[in-house]
Amino acid sequence: MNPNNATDVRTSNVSSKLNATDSPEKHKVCAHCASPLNSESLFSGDNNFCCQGCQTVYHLLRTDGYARYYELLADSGKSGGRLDSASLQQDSSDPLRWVSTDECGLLSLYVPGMSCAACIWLLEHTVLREPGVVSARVNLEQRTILMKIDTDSNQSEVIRSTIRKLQSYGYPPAPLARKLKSQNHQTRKDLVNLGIAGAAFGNVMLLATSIYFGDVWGIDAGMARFFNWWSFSIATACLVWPGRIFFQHALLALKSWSLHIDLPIAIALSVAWVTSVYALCTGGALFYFDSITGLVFLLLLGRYVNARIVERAKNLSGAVNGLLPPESADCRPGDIVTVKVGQNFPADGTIADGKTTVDEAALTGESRPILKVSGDKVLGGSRNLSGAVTLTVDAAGESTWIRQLEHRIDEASRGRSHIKTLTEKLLPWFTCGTMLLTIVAGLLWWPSGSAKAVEVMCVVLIVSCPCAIALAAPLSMTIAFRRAWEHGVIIKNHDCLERLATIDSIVLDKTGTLTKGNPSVKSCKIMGLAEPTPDDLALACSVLSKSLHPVARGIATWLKEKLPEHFRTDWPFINVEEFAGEGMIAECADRTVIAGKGKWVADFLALKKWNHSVGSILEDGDEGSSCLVCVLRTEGSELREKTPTTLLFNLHDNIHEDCGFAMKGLLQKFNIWLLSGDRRVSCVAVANAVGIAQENVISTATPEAKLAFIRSLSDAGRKTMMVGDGINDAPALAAATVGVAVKGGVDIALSSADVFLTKPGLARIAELIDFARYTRHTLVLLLITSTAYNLVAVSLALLGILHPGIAALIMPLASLTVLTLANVRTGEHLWKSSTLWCPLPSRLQESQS
Amino acid sequence: MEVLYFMVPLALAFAGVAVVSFIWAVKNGQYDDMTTPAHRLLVEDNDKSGKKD
Repeated sequence: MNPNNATDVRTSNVSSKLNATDSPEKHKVCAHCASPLNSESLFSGDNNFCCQGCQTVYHLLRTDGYARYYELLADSGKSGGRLDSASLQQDSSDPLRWVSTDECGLLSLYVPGMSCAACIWLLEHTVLREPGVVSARVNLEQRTILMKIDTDSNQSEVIRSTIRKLQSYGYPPAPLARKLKSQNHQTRKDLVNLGIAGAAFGNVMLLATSIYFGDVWGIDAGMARFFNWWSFSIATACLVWPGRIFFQHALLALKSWSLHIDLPIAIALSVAWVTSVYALCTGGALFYFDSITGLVFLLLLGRYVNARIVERAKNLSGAVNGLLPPESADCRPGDIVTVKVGQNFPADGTIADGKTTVDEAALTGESRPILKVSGDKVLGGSRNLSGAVTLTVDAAGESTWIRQLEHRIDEASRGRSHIKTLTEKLLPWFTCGTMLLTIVAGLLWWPSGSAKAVEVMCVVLIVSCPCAIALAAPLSMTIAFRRAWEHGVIIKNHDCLERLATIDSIVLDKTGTLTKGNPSVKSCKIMGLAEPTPDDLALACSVLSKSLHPVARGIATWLKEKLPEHFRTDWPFINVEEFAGEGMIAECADRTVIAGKGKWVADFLALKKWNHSVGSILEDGDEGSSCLVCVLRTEGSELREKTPTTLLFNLHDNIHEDCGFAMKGLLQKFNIWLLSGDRRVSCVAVANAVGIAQENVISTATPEAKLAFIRSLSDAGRKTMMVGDGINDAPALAAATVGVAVKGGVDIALSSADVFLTKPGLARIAELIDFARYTRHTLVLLLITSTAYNLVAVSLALLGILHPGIAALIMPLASLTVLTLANVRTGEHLWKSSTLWCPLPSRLQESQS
Repeated sequence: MEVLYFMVPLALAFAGVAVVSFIWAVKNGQYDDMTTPAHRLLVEDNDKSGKKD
């Protein structure tokens, strides 16, 4: 027990934590997760821990021989994940419910907690050590472990023991989204097609180049025919295997009478093939096999790159575990379930026995814990804060409120009206233009003979293939996505950038988006006559940090900062009792601390007959919460003195620092609304602080109300951007023109949103919209450029002087120009508030920042 | 130059072998994960115990 170790632990940014691990400051932070130590910390010799969880994992890893984990962590510049005892509790459900092997004994475990090289090392070695495991391989991007289990062993047992082991190390596996498997499958198919197209393109170009040089310098006719036959075989193979997708899409488009960009592409490819085969059979000179393979390869390349970046962004949103713990699948209405402190309620139900406070912030947006007693209803997915209770299940599984909400989100996103992308708008014009020019070509050349006319018409159709146009949108999107990614903005959908450019209204959530979500002390007033001694304050601080209530923790943090040198963990507490939602009382040998709502404290003191003048007690009419803390000198049940130390704390939720500045810019360009589930008073206070007009503030909104509001704005013709972070925002996020989830958002908000911001604050939003507009300009530029190339080629064709070799060159040239232009217009100057950032984020919801 | 009648098909056969190998590698999952091996470099493994597939 060494209290001096806890001095000066105000460091809270990551860099100083990193330095801490290899300097004398090492003792000031937790040896496992590098969080600053507090009065709850455990001190034991030369290793200190912030909590029981970290200590358990640390010793477990050491005794199992994984001490190297910490060296590797230091090398990677990371630290272990923050663990509290609740997350280490063994999951009582059977993990086999959501995980199983396939016939070869292969199994993928999704472990969202992994983040770096140290995790890879630890996880692979841990899983390999389990008896029955043949191999284990970590995929950091998808955050899965692919393991192979010996088919002779008892597979269920192996799975169970592996999962238990991982849970005990603080890397609990979670159910894997089914879509990841099919994603891998699709990626492989795309890659195979691309490889074949690339090989075909390269080889046909080699043969074609020989023939073109031969046209200039002379080539044996037999040799030329030989080369042409080989080109024919390769190009045909290219069309029927990798290229078949264009024909499939074109046929689908024809069947449904709609226009798809693959239709002109398929036409161009077919005409090119037929022309070339005709020339082959009749000894003509028009061979377009090189153009065919070039087109197929370039187009597939563009699509492949685009698909990968969109997939990558989607993977980051993780499997939608929801807040329901795995055992919720076992619950049936009428079951009696015990829910411990720190756990989430597995189903909607009624409390049968016990009393507690629950945190519904992620579900309803209510920032303060709610008292629940016997007979009250609780929602599945809310967190149990202060006391174990037994629950009678009313609705479980799919009928829970949260699942119903997820269904509503799906509906909302499907119902969102589709904004035509620029390419889609251009396409009908393009196709008509092509048809028109073909007819003109035919008419122009008819007098010279029907053969020549047909030839020119074919050439026009071939070179009007919208290859560069088809590439322009995916390329510019891909490059823009990457740029945004580097600045901490992750975009998930193709057309999202185009939608962003049209935004005219922004709807902001309050808690977590504008504010930080942790109440902190705004003012502290000393009531009564007694001057508080530091010792009393340290005692109060220690008492308050025992509570899970955000208000108590806020006060404890504040007190800690004010008086760091008075920390002690050896207060001789006789009794500590928390009254859910009201307050708490702690008795020492010589003092008693009472903290809580003003009225409750007064009632309690009256009950104990420790009446004294506590002065006028403010009610919760304020914009934040208020809390009264009394420290009384007592002995047993007798009051030793008449004037106790009494402090009145006023807390509020902090607004992000850059909000004021960012809001000024946003208010000038857009209509801004504040939409929150919290009380009117809090909402208006925050709105006033950032500059949103009072009539644009909507409070106490349920998720349905939020959704309805967004819909009303859409109906009025506005293009809305919804910014939020909690579950109660999710349907609104899905229904808005663009949904933006902010850092720290729950999984369901992340997966129903189109964009997520990995850094807190609003500055990104303004920059993002500017960037989207800039990208739109880039796209217009690219489309103009590619159309220009097509026009030049068609003009040459109309004049009858287009050599097949030139045609084969123009396509790649146009694509290259488009690519260069897209890369040159980076839009870097628009991201003023940030610096470049690591492309592979470790975790979206980092516990340290 | 007649040798080309033999060389070109041979070269194309090599290309075919390359394509087949590529398809095999993709189906074998070698291109599934392009980012994790980069992180693996940070771990120098002294003990080669444990079967790495």
